[in-house]
Amino acid sequence: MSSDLILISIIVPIVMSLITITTGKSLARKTIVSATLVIVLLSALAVLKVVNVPTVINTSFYGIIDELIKVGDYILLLYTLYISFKVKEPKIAIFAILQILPLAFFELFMLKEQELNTFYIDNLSIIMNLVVSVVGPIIAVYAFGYMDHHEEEKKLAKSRQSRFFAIILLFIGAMNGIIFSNNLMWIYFFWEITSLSSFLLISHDKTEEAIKNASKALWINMLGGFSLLVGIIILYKYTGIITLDALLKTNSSYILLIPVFFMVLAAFTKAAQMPFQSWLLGAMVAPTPVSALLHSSTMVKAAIYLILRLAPTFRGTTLSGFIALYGAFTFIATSILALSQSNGKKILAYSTIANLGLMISSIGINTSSAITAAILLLIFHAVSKALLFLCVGTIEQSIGSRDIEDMKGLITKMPVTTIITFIGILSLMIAPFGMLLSKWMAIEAASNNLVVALLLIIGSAVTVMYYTRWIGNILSEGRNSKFFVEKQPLTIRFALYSLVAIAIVLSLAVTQLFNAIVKPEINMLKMSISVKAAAGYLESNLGGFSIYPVFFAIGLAVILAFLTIKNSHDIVQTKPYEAGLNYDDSNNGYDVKNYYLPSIINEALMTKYMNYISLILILAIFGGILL
Amino acid sequence: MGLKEFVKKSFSKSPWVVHYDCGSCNGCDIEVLACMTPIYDMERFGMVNVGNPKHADILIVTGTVNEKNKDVLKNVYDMMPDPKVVVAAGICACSGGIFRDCYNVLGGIDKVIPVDVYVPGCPAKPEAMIDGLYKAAQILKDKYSRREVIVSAKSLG
Amino acid sequence: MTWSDYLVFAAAVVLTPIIGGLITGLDRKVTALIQGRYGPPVLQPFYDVVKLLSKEKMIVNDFQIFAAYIYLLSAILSIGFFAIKADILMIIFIMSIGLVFYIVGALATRSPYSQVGAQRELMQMLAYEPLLIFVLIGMYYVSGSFSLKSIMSHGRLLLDLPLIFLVLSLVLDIKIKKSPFDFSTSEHAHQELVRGILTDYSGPYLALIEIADWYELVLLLAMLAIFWSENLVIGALISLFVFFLDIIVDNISARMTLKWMLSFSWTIGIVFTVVNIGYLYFVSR
Repeated sequence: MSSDLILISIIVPIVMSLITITTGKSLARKTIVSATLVIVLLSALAVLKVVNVPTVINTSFYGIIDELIKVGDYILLLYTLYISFKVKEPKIAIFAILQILPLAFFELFMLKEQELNTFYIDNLSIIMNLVVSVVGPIIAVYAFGYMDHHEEEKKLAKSRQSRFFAIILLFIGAMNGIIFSNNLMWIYFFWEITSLSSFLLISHDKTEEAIKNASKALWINMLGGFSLLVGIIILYKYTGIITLDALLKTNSSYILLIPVFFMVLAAFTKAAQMPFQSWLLGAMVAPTPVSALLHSSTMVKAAIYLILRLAPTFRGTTLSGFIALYGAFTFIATSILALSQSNGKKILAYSTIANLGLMISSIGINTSSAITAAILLLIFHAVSKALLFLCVGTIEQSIGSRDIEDMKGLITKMPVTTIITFIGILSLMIAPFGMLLSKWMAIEAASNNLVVALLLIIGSAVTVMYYTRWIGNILSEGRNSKFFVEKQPLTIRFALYSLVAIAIVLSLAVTQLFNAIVKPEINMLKMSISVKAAAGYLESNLGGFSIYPVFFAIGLAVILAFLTIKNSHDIVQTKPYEAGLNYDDSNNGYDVKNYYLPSIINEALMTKYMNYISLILILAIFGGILL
Repeated sequence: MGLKEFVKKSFSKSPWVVHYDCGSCNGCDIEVLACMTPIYDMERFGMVNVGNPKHADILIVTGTVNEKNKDVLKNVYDMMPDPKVVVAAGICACSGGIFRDCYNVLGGIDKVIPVDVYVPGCPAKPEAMIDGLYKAAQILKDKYSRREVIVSAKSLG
Repeated sequence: MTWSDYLVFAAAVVLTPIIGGLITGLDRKVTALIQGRYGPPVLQPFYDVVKLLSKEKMIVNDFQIFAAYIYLLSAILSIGFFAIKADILMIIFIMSIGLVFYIVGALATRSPYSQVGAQRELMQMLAYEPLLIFVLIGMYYVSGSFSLKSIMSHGRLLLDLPLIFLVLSLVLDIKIKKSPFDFSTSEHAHQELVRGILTDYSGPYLALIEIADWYELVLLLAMLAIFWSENLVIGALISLFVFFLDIIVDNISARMTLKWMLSFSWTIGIVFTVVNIGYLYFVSR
């Protein structure tokens, strides 16, 4: 039964994606896509209820699927070679060939046929599956309305949405494949599918810029794929391990660290850490649902998932300490770079990379509360970032620009979207929401390592700065402002409301979330529980966070403010002070441009130096194996 | 003393001043500045020169009013929250002074806003101005008490 | 939280504005005496706040009301949690909620003075918030926990963490916006962009912000006082002494620039923290 559920969640989306390509009519396509995603969601909930974790699950289909995947690998790599010729990007071809040759050698000469366990599930897989299966459909529903409007704007004669949704379904199937697979070669195959779908989706609009950025994304991800393959081959050569359950059962020894380094490097490329961050920034030319789904909620989280899986193998080594330092460095470097941006999607992209760096840093610290912090960060970040990307997409379609300077006074033009964006940004950076709670836990866990702690602290202060600047812009109200009643299509309204509701509910229920899902995972990783969660109070061995009093106080303040505004007969509305010169009512107030600090933060120059430093850190991680 | 008494007392004990120069020769403005120096020290009465009409209770104006600055003066006066008091410092603000008959001068500031305290002098002495501000603080307290009486009378009848 | 915790919380919330107002009044009196004049009575801040609360309500943007309430409530929460000896990193993060809303409340009015003042406040926050958490890391290093109970059980933090104490004094100076750090708004009678971030607040909401500033002042002075938690009276005297030094620095220095403040505070913060914790690390070896 449970094997069927998992097979459904992987195979159904892939199969339905092939069917979706052929459907031309909009209604048929939407029905098929919605039905598929509902099936995926239901199977995820069923897995949550039914499966007793941790467990390995076998199916009789193992052999067939293994053969299909072996063939699929070669088809995939040959297809990428073909793409490389079509877009004239030789680097893709280089990495494709670099993967085909070792792959062929490995499978023909080294790999021994064995009957292995098919799926490996534990609480982490369930968490990831829920994230993909809940956030994915919501974004797809949003994409129904968004893509219709998008194609109207571009005046396309023939709709290309069938291709779009087909690839999204393929991607969701591949994500489930990464999450549940036990055989490392399967994980490699699904990993490469996600890289390919990322390329196809970024280049969806078929403009020159989109194709260029998509090629960059593809070759950097192929570099990651190559690194993953090298890691798997080295692992098999020295230990004969090819599956996750065997990997997690072995005693962590010195020899494991080398393949682990290559696999972690693959994760770094997929999570767009420095110096690989340029692909994620370039991917922002894609339509917004792509940015929300792939490049903030799910695909980049697959990288974090891989590192979390490998975390027990490098616990307590110098490698771990250097990974923490590297993650913290990415966090602070991309946060500072985000300060200099005014393009909304680029700010969100840099913020995503920064938060991924924070998660990697927490995993590198590798204590019980740090891993808890990483898992909680993963959950909360997926929800909040998807919400923010969807809001920016809605705003962009409405006012025609993604620059936050153009979003001044947005609350009068689009009050509902502005309030949702406001709550979304607050849920990313303010107590008592989940992200800040996890950041608190991460900083407390990092305090033993002074340099990592310093970097994380400065990074989070910078984070508050660039988000507060954005909130101030959208909430600013002009003098002669009238509030428009905003008309939102049903799909967009559903997506935004549900994500914001999930964000708030999850933050309120963080203790229940921890006890239900995260604590068993920590148990399973054989670490002592150092975090206790009860009735609105999260306590680690270093301190405690009271969640409910803070929510209560904020709620009280909001209610008091509302009451004051309701009884506002004695409140005088006046104009802002402009040295007495307000007699001219024509302009709508004076606007001051925000601090972008271009003299201190020059994006090109800083990126160059940060890239060098991050390369040195990666070499240090490799060197850490020898220490 | 009761709470109401304390509230009324605070109006006379904490009058915040905003200073606006209408068309003055700056003689009276220098004297206003001198009020804040240690020799004359208006802060011992709780008077602070906040530069922002939204924070202030007392508007002290120097200089004459002309076509250009009467709107600005009205704006600054309107931006002050109730209860508020206006002090005209120097003879130019009171009645136009020696510039009264000029072609551009409309007269003293009471042509534009209601004035409560007149402090004549050319320039007005700091002691006189502090005396005027002190009287203005007492008028502020009276205005607050009267407003309370009006409000409670309205709610009764 | 037990019943005694609730009582301590409530007592702290009620007593702190009185203490904060008295300290602010003393501040103005001492400043006046240094400048050779009489100055206002010590109870002056109470008169100010009560007068402001009774003025007419005048706002530019409804969001300012939210901002004032949330700033006040987060300051109340943080002092309450400090009194019941909760986790100090949580207290700092709760303080930052209020700060964010305070800044957004001023950014939401389209007045040039408020907006520039708010952005300067953002830069000031960027300058002192990392330093504040560095201080907490120092305290953690010495006592092994972030909870105030264990930090205060150490007794004489000042002897182990002298440089960290100096960093915290710098944070106090930046946070209460005394010269040379009064960029975003300034004390009475020192104009900065026409009261900077506070320009468009008036009447009761200005009073709420003033009271919240008292809470934060007392919180920071209390954080300075726990550096000698063996005898809290001596600790209070130490923190008042630091405050007195801040008043003197206020009177003798001019307003500097933002870039200077950022470089100065980060350099001092990072260097002092690393030196102090490094020294402790090597001594304990």
